[in-house]
Amino acid sequence: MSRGLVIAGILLASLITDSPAEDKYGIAELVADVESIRPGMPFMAGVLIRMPAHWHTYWLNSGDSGMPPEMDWQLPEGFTAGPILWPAPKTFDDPPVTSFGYDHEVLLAREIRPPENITAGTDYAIGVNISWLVCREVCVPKTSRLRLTLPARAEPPVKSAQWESVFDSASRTIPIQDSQWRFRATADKTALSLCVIPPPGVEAGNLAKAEFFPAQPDLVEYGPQAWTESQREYCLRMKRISGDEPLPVRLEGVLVVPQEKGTKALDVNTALENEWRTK
Amino acid sequence: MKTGYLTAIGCVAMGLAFAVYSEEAMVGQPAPDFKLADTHGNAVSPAAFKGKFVVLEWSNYDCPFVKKHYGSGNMQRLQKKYTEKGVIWLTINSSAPGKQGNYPPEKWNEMSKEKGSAATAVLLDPDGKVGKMYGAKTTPHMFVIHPEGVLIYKGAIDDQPSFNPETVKGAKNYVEAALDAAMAGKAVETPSTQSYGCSVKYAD
Repeated sequence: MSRGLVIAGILLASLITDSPAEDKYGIAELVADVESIRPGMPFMAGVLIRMPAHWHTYWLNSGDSGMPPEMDWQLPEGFTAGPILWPAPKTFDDPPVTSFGYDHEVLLAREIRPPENITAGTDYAIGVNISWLVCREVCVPKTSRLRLTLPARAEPPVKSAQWESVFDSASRTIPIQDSQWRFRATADKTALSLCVIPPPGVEAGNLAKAEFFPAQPDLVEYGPQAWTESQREYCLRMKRISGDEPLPVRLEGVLVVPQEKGTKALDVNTALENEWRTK
Repeated sequence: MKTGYLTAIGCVAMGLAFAVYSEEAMVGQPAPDFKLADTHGNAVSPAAFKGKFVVLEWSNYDCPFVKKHYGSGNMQRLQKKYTEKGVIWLTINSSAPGKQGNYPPEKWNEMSKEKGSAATAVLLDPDGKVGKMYGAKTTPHMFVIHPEGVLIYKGAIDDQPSFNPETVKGAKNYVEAALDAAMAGKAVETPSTQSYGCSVKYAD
């Protein structure tokens, strides 16, 4: 009887387990930048989502449609993890729907720190249950249970020959905090404004083509963005979804500014002044 | 002088923009009227239901987010609960021909029956005119019209923007909250939210 239940359980588990095999909608893999770990020494682990050409998945704020990947991480006892480092997204415009996400591939990485008391010679397993959506014109939901086993060694960790470069290139797409860029945000009953003063040397034309991705959903409507300039301060006005909802105390998001080569992604986290309430 | 001229042009442009914009459904404003054929060939207009609450539910049975609400029985539960109270529930599909979720009326009737839909009617909007008039962006995308014709809710069905069926339980259902409040003569606490789901499959 109980064996029957166990077998049923295993069957059920195998039904809901997408073994990380690639299908026509891509694959998610759990990878690390090291081949072995050492007590107390942090390393990077991440879920690498790969998609076929023309398909995309979503950022932490998916925009008008879609859903950010949902991840449930399981770590061995005593291991701690930093925040997920979401690379800067791009816009997928399908009027009237504007969404934010990634195409081709994306690495959702975080720093993992093993405790001091792990035993050299033992294997440690990290697990991630992930649900993600792959969309082109239609959306395909995918789920996967991912597992990565890493041996603990007394020697310094060996970098992964296969994945180190993937982590390196992903790290260059993470929005950075740059105190040379000044931000301020204000809100009134109908709109929210983000104003930016770039450091000297940033060309006006680049700012005019900058894109702001609000991290908080439910705040503003998405769509084409038009910056206005006044004395080298660039402002973007975004229509609020509802003027009645309470406002957060800070505006968070990512500002992506075109450069001569590629783009610069800046982390925006600035106090949100409510002009409407204080007036 | 030059600035004044530009401002004048700007005002005209703004006026045009607003004129176009006011056609879109806005909470607190009269809900735009329309006429669409339902899957039985009857012409349906929300204005004909004055005196009753009307719910508009943008749908596409092939969308994973819609599947969450029909697969779990959540949408049918809401439809049943409120149509029994006299609410008119209109499911609308704005998928363009050739796009996901566009089916002939007979197929819609078959699928709706199979799902146990308790909607008053299913309306087809293949040219997307009504969807765009209401600013329907996702499936599901929900709208509630007061018996006096004013739009009192526009947005998500609930506060769980996920396709995982486990998220139905314990979700705060905004449509239920809006209808219950308005039926009790109270103001709707959350009249506008950001919808979630698949994009509406409008023509390119």
